[in-house]
Amino acid sequence: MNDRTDRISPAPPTTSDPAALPADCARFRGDLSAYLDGGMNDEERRAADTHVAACPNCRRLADEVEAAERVLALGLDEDAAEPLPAGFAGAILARTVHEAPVAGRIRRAPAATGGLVPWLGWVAAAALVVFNLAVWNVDGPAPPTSNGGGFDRAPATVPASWQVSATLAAPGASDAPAASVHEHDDFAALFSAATLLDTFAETTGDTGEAAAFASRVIAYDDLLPRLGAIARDLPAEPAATVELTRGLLEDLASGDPRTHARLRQRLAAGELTAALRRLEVRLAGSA
Amino acid sequence: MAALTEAELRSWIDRLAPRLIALSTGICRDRHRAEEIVQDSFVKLWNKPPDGGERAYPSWLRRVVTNASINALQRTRRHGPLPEYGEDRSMRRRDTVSEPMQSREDRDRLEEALGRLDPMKRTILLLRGAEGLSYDEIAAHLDIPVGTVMSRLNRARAALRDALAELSSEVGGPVFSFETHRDARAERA
Repeated sequence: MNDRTDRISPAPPTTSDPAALPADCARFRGDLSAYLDGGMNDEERRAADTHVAACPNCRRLADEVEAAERVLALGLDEDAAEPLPAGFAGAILARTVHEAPVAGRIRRAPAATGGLVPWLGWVAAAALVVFNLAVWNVDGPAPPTSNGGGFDRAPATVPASWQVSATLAAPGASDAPAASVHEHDDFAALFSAATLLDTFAETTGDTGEAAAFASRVIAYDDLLPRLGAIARDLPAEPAATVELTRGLLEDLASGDPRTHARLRQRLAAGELTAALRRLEVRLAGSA
Repeated sequence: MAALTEAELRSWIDRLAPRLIALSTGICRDRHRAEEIVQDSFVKLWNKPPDGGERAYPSWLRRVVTNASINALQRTRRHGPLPEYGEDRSMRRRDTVSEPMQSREDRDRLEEALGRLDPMKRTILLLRGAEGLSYDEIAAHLDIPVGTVMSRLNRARAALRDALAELSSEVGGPVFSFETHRDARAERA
């Protein structure tokens, strides 16, 4: 092995303008992957080696790309050596091995009768949204503007768009609003609403009352199928979006502290505020 | 009916999840989201294992994670970045004290350059350069013809090299301090 240990100096960036290159250089760069990955026959290989030996720019290009991929591979190896975060496997097991038999699968039809206990976790999550929507729309308390923990919360006044999100979540009402607003943004807003309302419930300690409320809103057990219907029209892998939402609601129901931490960070990122603004603009336009 | 037992699922998680998280983080640039994606992928494995038995699990999981990571990034871009993840490097990966300084500089520069590429270029570079997949395997992962793999890989490598050159001209100095192994390339051939 004859390793070169000298630093690689940058070569002129010529790869983006192959037409300006000499023919041999353009050919080599067009075959770069075959050269690096052993995809050349003997004759091609000899010609490429001859060119590389004579052309410092192409030699440097091959060296740089190869060095970059070695750094890339080592970096991935280092990252893969990090231990899994605490609770990582447990969260998967909770959604698989230890999952309740009918735990609100989106692809399942809602239970026609009974089924209160199996659905309770999902109902609680849905109710958390619905309950707080009701509280905010009817009674109008302003959400907290700070928790003292250094992150800003969403708008201090409750926008009218909450009502649409609530309507979307309500049984038998998914078709009407879907025709007048963009479902993707509604979904994003509802997603964010669940995020904010969960934080609200956590902060105000209203989760107990929300749980009591859940017993009266069994009809909302089809919230998830409705979210699924919205998500089906998303351009990017609807199943992943549905799964994301299901995981979120599941985590909300179980009170996973890691989820809460992530949600706070997303609130801090302004994602919620942006989603609400988008929805408000669309609502104003469709009114 | 699940084809896995709890012990088997745990074993697969232990064996595969760390690298899948690393791969997903490399694509979507968000370790927290990568963890979620990998968790979702194991749930999918449990719910509907791929045909072909256990031997198919690693490739199947990597494929699911790869595509979910690309999609997650596209979703993030639609809704705007999550600055608490995107700008804080310490949240993306842990810098270890023992890591050689020069190597870390190389990695940081490479990550910076990778961040300037579009997700598909980044993904194909990771699958080939870091995961060492064959063109056939990459084609299967990304659901594209094998012939397209080489052209895309060529463009991705050129773009990476240009991004590194740009960075190099911005900060001055060499692209890498990293040792190159031209003989290794000959061996691979």
